[in-house]
Amino acid sequence: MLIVGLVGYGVLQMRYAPPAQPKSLKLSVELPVPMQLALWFGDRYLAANADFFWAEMAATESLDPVEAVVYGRLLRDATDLNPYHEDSYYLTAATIPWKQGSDLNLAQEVLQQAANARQWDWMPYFFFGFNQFYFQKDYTAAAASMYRAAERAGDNSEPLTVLAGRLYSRAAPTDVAANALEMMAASSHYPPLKQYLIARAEQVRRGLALQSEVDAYIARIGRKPRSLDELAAAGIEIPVDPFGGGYRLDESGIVRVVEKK
Amino acid sequence: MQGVFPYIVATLKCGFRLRSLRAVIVVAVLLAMGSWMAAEFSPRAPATVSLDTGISLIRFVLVILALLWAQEYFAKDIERRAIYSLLSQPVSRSAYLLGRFLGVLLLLGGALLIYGAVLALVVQGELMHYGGQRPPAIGIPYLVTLLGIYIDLVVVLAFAWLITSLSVTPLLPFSLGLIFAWSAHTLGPVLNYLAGHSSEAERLAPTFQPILDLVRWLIPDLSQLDVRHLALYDLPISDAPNFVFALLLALTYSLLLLSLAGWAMERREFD
Repeated sequence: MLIVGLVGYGVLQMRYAPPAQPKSLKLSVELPVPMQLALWFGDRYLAANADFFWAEMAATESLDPVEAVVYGRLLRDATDLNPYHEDSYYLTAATIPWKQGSDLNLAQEVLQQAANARQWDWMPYFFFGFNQFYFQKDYTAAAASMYRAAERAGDNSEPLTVLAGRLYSRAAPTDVAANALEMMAASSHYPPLKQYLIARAEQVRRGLALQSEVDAYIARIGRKPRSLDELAAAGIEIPVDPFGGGYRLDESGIVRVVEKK
Repeated sequence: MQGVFPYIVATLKCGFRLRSLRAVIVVAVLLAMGSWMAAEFSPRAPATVSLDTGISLIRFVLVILALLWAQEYFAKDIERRAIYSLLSQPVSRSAYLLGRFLGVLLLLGGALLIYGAVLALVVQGELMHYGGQRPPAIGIPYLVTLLGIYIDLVVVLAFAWLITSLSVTPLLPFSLGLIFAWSAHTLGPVLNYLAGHSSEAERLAPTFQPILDLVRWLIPDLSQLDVRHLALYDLPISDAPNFVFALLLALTYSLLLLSLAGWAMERREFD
């Protein structure tokens, strides 16, 4: 009887075992912030940590579009609840801009909030500037963010200032970039860095002068020059790049710096 | 006020009984484990997250402890009719009420110091592994944070005292006290959120803002007493500009509640 009972029970259990559940969404719901606060006894710091821990567990998973939205909102909520939260902005910078179909504006919002709260921390502005440079291709804005990061960076201030200088000169030459570089040079107390920034400012100023020659040439001839050699052949002096790389024209007729290899 | 001191001593003696001490020690061990485990989830600032989670645990556990002790040392005196013998002595009812209140406050202060010290040790242990970019400050900012938690408890306890002096069942002060603490902790952060510029806040504000603005007059915003960011991120006290105001508000509110409790107690008729 025991054997019959065991076998019978076993067979029936196997037969009537509930079917395997489809993979459930890990991040299907994001509670509104007031509800999160209510759930965590009004403790915004605890609510921020809970949001972060939840997002952290999904950070390395491949997320479907719904989960990706919830993932971003969890990190945004964590930063809303505790703008000082270091892990939240770091995880945001490390994951959101790189995920397919992610919301870069949300990442920038989180980083800006962290930069405002964490006055001692250079990294939020660094990541903010990196996203402007790498994903948004806005070199002037990226350079300004890098310089803000440099102002807070203590021992790392020099390489960040150099990076800001490079980004300014990589952008289309503008007065804004040249002025910013001159201001950075004026506030630098380390002579080699000061010289470097002055040279970068000069590089931009020369690029700017060349740009006005190009614009005048276009107005005169009615088309964009094919290269700078065409300008040189027309008697226009091509300035020397203080860094030895030179200048080129892009397809829109904008002067660009060529970095020395 | 005459006759307060014996009740303080009596409450402290009860508090040092084995059962209460054991509860405090068990919670301290759980606190140490909880805050240590929370640090494991933090890639960048384990000591900060450990302190952060530990403060959250302390804040919650002490509210529960305050309400349990209010039940044990005041509400049950009434339920067990022990209050008859206490009130037959030549001291005022207010002295009894205040003596018990101060006794429980001292017990809570002791528990807070134990938990604060345990948490400080856990955080120091974390700091030995990895300090992070800006290590938390286990000094004056931490003491200020603990002071904020203590004053928060004064308010919750005073509320429980008022309800106990009015109620006939010991469960009511606990349940209403918990609802009060939850409301007073949640009110400020929700109002702050609604005052923000997110689309969700703008959607919710017209419905909830008028109600919460009214509630604000009845229940103080105890979240202003939570200044842990000073300790978590080693910030100057000027980064908590409302703290002194919040302390004074909490103390005057507690005084009001205790006065009402004393008034109700003096007029109460015991069967």
